[in-house]
Amino acid sequence: MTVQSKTAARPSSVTTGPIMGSRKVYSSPEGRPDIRVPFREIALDPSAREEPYRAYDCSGIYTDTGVTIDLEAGLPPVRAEWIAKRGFDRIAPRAVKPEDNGNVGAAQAVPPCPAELPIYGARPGQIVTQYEYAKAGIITGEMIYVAHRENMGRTKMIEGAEARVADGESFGAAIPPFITPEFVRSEIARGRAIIPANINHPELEPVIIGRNFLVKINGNIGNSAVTSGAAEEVEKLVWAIRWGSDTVMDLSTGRNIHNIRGWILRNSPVPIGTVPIYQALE
Amino acid sequence: MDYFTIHAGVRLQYVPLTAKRTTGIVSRGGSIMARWCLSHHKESFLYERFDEICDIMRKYDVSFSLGDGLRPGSNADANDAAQFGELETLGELTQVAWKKGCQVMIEGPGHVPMHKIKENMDKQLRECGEAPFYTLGPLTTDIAPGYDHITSAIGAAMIGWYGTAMLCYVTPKEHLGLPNRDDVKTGVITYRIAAHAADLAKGHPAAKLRDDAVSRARFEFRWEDQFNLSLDPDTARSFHDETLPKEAHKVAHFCSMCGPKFCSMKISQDIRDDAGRMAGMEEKSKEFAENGKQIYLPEVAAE
Repeated sequence: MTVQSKTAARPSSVTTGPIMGSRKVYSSPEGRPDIRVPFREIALDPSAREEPYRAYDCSGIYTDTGVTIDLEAGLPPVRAEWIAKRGFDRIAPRAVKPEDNGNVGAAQAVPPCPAELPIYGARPGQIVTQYEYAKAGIITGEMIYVAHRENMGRTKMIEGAEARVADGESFGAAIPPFITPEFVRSEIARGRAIIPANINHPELEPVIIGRNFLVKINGNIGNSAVTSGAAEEVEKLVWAIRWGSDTVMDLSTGRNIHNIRGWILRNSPVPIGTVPIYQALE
Repeated sequence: MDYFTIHAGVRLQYVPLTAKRTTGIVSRGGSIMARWCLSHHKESFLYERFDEICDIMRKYDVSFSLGDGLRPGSNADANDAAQFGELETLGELTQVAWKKGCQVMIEGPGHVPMHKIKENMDKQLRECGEAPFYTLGPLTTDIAPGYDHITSAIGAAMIGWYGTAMLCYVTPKEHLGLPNRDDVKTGVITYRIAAHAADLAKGHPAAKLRDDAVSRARFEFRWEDQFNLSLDPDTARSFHDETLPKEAHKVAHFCSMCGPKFCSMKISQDIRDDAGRMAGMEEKSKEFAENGKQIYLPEVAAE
């Protein structure tokens, strides 16, 4: 199934609907009904007499049948409340310059994504990064979120967990049988893990990258001087996360970079990375 | 943006070390910075002004992905002085970024033959204070353009097992062109395999549950469950249905690979059933032996 939007120049359609044989479910850590961590639940044949299998899910709401996708409005800002409570300054972004989009002519210009958000920045001396929160001994919403996510959201994982850990050869890693928010905090404080999460990306479903967590993968998208516009790039993002890309790097080197990235960010539930020097040189 | 690749480790002194390489500098950002250093004959401005970059990154919590601009672009260049010199500098920059309050991960190679992969991981952990490693593959051989998702997934699975936290995918179009939609899916699934294989080997407590669930489904001929539990149910189902499309085949105790008479899973189930009957017999005979030995022979013979 695809979702159509209004004009041809804008991203017009992305792949939606659940992966075959599964459905989107949400689960909350104990005592935190405000945190809804997505999973992909796979129901099994009754003859198996097994509970549905719950898989890690980075595909965003695109695989949720209960929502309407509007690429121009962007995704729901699941982190907005946490970020708001941190009291960052609202700052005025500098005006977009022609070179930000590679001096593209009007005929080839991609329009900006209408879902533009206010921009926040930390005041000097104010704690802002997940690393600083961790160092200060503070467990953030993002940390609670990833702990629940890594455990696949169920206590059932504890059964036999120690035996499974003992069965592995981890070359000195320290994977605990069960991930607690405090463990997440301590790993970030030691610099052994990160939660890439710009305070201006409230749509992000937090993900942790570190040796003592599930191994993550990154998929690259991006246009070049030769090919690809905003519609293709947004669809590539949605397509890559559908199949399990935990983060996505936009390696665009062509024109319209600034505006294409607006569309990508507002519609991305995964961390987005880039190589800024490409845009600086385009 | 949530993370930035910054190639601040490409220092002027390392550039000459790449002169005799088979494939020189293959990272886009790396070659840009090397050219800048040489043409100005100056130390990299990213390195010299790294403090200021940290301040900008911190303000919005943009994580660093410290780029490996001097990663090897061929197996011949793996683990050379340029690559490892840069890694040491990335270790130094990691400490600066942490002092500034930033989150950091470190990018890694590239093209590395299997026997030289572990050294990369060990050195990264040592030099960079255990900051997460984020590697591109590595590609374990250079001979298979068109299949570099596979050459690299081999290296990715290994380095993931040794401790790499994130694996950057490689698509079948690597070295050849911009990937299309199908290439993106192939790359992602291939890397999910590498990441999961690493999780399983490391003993991540969540990993094995899925393997066991798929294996039970396979052994019990629950075809639908086997498809649905797999990383790519669409492909699994379409491959099965290519030869056995009927709904009835979804409960069949065989597939077209070996046919009904030679299915090892079916034979193995039969053996298990036989063994179950045998075990029952032994049990009985023991019972008879214990409860008055003289009558055990006729009873067993009657079976």
